Amino acid sequence: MFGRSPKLGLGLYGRRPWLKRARATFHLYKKLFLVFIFILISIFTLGLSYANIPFATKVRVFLTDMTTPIMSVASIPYDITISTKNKIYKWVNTYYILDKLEEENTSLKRQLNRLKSLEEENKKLRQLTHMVPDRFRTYITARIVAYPGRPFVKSILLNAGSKDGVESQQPVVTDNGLVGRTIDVGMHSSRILLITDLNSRVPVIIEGLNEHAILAGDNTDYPKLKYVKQISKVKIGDIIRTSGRGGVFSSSIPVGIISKIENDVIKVQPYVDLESLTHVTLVTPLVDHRLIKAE
Amino acid sequence: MLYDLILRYKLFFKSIFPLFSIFLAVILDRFHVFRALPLEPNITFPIIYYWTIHRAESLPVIGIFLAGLLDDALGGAYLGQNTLEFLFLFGAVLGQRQYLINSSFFMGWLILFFLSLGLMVIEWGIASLVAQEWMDATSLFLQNTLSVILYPWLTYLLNKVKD
Repeated sequence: MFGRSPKLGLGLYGRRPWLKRARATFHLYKKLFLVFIFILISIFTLGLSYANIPFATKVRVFLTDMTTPIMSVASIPYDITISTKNKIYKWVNTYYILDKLEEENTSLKRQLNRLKSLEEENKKLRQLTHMVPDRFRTYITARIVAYPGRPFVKSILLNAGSKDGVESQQPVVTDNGLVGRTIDVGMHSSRILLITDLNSRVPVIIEGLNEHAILAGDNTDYPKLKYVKQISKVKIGDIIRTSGRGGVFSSSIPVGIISKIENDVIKVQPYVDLESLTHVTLVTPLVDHRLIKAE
Repeated sequence: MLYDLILRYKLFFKSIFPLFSIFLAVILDRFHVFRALPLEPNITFPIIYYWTIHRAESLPVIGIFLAGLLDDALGGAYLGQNTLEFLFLFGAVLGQRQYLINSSFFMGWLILFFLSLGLMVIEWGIASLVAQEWMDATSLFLQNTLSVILYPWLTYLLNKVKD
């Protein structure tokens, strides 16, 4: 229709330049109209997502599940760079690291001896009181494949999902302490809500004071302590651990230390540097080993 | 024959590259590439801005929508949040494309800065609405400004690819 006219040897627009302009304007407005329609769809999606409609969660989980393998492959060059950087750092600081490790080793040996005697004592006491054996936990280590990248979101994506035994509302930790908990779990991926996220609430206890509180994220690097009864007794440097209340987090997981108290607002510095995580450990639900024995 | 085939493939890759680079930017934004900096820049929106000015015909609206959805899913934001921002940026630039093509680089850079403020208002507004309290927008402002500062380098890189 808009090709060259064989009779005249001129393009259709050659004779009617206004038609070309009209066509371009039509296409522009058509595209702008489509943008408007998709903006409405986005607002609708946002509403569904905010209302926590299961469909929106399923779409999110599906999208993350589809892209996790791509993310895993895409992160290989990045991982290689980081590991090379770490290797160079270790190589340069070998003597310093060795010194530190020797010191740590001596201290750990001392602690191990103490723990052995405590374990023996514990066993004897359990036998004396005919205590029912405790349940134990298992651990899954997973790699982080996506970071939030935006200031108002504090969650990370892992390359382990329900296929690997991950479940929703599982505590996530590192060697240093608490990281957060799982929220959306797909087949091959899962999302972790960090303790600094606005939606995060962790029941904690202030060590020494035996004071229960709630650690509430506020999207800053330092979450707040809420519902503290004896604020005047709290001081900077006090250690925060999970209290075990609520059933999601087991008790005594190290969380952080109190770093700032200002106008009755208590800020906590997490033990874990949440910005530089590469791997995390998921604590699976409690397993009753009497059941395993029965199997 | 072979030359024709190569030409066809070249044209095909040229037509899909703008959308492909946006998806790539969404994925790259999820890594801590700029770990040394206190803030991570967001490279997706300067790239959308660039391609909307130079190759709007290669950017289908649904492609921008899907890139936004992917960004939301990977980043953990509410579904539709970044989608809304991307579409707002795309629509705003598309409406003024003729003017932006003919304007100088510095004018384009300045307009990107003002558009980044618009995007910031959308993101901050949604975050405040969800949290039901006024959120501190300082880090968001700094992040967007950092992304705008990176625009000349991105333009240089994309110009190379475009030509």
